[in-house]
Amino acid sequence: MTAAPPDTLPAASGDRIASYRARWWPDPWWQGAVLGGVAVAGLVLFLAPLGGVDIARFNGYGLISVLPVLSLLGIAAAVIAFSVGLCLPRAYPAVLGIALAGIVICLDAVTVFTEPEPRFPTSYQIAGFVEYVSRTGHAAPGLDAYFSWPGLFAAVAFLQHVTGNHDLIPVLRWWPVTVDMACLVPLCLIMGNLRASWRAKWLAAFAFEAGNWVGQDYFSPQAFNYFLYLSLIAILLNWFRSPMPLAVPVPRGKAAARGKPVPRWERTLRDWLSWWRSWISVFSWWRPWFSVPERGETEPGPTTRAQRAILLTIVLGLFVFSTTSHQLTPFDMIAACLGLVAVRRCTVTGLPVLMAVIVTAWVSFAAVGFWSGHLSALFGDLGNFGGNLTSSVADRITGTAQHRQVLEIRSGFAAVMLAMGAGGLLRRRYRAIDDRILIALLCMPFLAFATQSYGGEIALRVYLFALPAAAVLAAYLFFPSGRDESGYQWRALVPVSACAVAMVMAFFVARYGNEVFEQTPSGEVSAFDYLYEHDQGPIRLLWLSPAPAVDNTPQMPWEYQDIEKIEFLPELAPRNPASLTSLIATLRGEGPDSYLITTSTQESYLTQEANYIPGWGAAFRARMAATPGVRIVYANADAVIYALDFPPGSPANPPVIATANPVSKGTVLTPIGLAVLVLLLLVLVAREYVRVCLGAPRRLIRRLTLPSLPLLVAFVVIVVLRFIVIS
Amino acid sequence: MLACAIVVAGLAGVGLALAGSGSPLRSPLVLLFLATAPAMAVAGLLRGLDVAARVFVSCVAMIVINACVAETMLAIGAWSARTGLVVVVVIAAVLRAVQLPVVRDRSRPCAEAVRSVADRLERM
Repeated sequence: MTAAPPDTLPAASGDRIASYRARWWPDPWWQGAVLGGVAVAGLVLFLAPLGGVDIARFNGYGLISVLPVLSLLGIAAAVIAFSVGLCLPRAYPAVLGIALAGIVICLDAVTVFTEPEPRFPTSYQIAGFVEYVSRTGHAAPGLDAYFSWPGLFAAVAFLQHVTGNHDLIPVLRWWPVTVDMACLVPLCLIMGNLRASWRAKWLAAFAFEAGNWVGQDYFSPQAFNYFLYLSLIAILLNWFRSPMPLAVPVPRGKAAARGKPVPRWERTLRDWLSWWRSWISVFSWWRPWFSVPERGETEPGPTTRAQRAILLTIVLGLFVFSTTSHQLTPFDMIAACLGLVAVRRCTVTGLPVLMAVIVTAWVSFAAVGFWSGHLSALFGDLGNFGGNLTSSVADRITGTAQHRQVLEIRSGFAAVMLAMGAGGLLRRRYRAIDDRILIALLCMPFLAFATQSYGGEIALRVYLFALPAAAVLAAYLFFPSGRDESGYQWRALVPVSACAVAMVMAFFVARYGNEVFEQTPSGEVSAFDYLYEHDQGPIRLLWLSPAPAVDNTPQMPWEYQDIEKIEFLPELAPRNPASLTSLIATLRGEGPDSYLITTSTQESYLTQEANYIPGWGAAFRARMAATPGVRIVYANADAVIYALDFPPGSPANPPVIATANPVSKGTVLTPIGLAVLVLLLLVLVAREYVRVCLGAPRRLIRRLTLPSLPLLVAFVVIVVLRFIVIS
Repeated sequence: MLACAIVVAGLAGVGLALAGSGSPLRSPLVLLFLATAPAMAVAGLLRGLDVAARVFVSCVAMIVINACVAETMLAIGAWSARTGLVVVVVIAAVLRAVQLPVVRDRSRPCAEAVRSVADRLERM
């Protein structure tokens, strides 16, 4: 081996640095520097005044009503700098990346800087489920339906144990922005497959973040599963996508004559189509719509047999974990996969069936506690497309004028996003580009309307799962080209900047519009700390709901520990705060171990969402304090806990809180079903490995398909019978 | 070199966790191990893919391995964080071991037999 010349190493490392620089920060460098400077200054301007925000002054528009004007100007400047960056001749990935990351922090972590405690009541409840698993080492399906899907609780509890750190408050605080940032990675990989300009891809990443106002990114299984959903699609599109068909020269003249004779019907059809085309081409602007489009995605990269096997294993592991940790996301994964198979862009064509068997098996055998006894909750909305749509869109628009406006802005935001996506799709089709992958990913989530109302939340979930495709298509509205355009694109600057700034402002209203009751004041955490410090035995805690039968999620940091010791009971909040007779009678009827809690956020909820009179909370507290026999157990400005005086020797009536799985009826179907399931899974898994690793040999796949069919029928029959017998 | 340093530091964290130590280093080190060891092991199996894609897939695999170990312990009623940690260490070690030159050389005849069977099946 000869010695390298002394100047080789420095030159090589210099070349490498130069190539990195050319890639991440190309010349002319000053354009990137100016843009980066403006973006960073804007972000600093947004964050700097947040310390002085007074969250007690929230009105019905939520956070935006207290955000300083300087902050809004700051983020607008950052967004405009990002938009200008999209109009330059070259991409500055370093600058655009920093600006985008900063914008995501401003959008999703703003409450970290303005509010003393992590926001959103349900995230505290999820922390309580994790605490239960961590403390006891098992799930409690009798306590809550969430425990039928305990995957995430187990994973976080495992991390808590091995790290020895059991404080989840910092996790609750930083989870939303972390998950939102993490989702950008699979989204980038998905976009890496698309035939689109760098401008469209960067704008799509921005639109995805600014369009995600749904607020399902709090510490919860669905937030984590959304990341898994995007990851699954990214893996399928990157490594299990059908390759382009090889270009086969069309036989003409004598060559055609030597080939197979064209059937008569096909000749008639071709003649008919060409007549229509010639007629349509009279109007020149129609012509591109009827031309044969080119593929909207790039050629997939090569992979080896072993790599495909490993990637399929990861896909299956990811799906199994998703199945065990969330009830809705696996169905969206199946729908997305089915969509890709249907548009012939996924080579693992049997994967949707395998996934459906896995998720059905989990629901049938492991989530018995969820459906046993209330099958109507599971299947009652099946096929009720219109009803599910109405219950999750129109029926939710209630409350004060400001609150209704927030809800209308949410619906409008979603509608505009989808409309922009449709517009982008048309522009691409006009350029004869076939975006069938995005069409599949956009449309498949809408199937959910036909199956479930999901407690009136299904529209939010449908929008969330359609968002990745909608964001990319919306970006195509501005940059429809299938390749990188050269030169400046100043024509796009005004529309892109205007839309981007409008999206960010609308995001603050749509996402944080309910902040007046979705925030968590410190006083409420103190009240619950007091309760949990003093909960010797099981107690009942009544809270005030506008409609106890349907509205059973309190707006307070509930259940974050000892979930088996406090039973939360929704009780009708009296419209007239002076008329408390019925409420007091109910509290007395519950016995000495019962308490009543009122919190400022729940009172705001009653006023904003359910049209209780302004000042209802103060009047209610004054009336309770003046009621004889009512004792204040704990009080601060944000929360008050009441109890009633009982004569000494009154019989205790503690609640019975069941944690174990309700005992299901023993049935011989269970062992038979499990045996059939194991065989079916073996056959289906083998079939998919054969398909991806061995180049889909037809005869072998057919041999594996044949035994799978009777097993599949047997499995479906057993699942249906179990539903009938056990429920 | 960096990978070795990370693995050694991570294993020190695992040791602290198994010993139940209250050291302030335990939490970051054991997290470092759980985040990097399975990911590096899977990344080694996926040589040849694009770097960014490889890092991403390895991280997804790391999440899946950790989460599935925890979920399995809960589902079969054998909850023990220490056992889970040992299982993750074993999985990462096995995935890494199959890439070692010694193991690859020893298993070459076996791998070739599998490959020839796969080739024959592929032609079916």
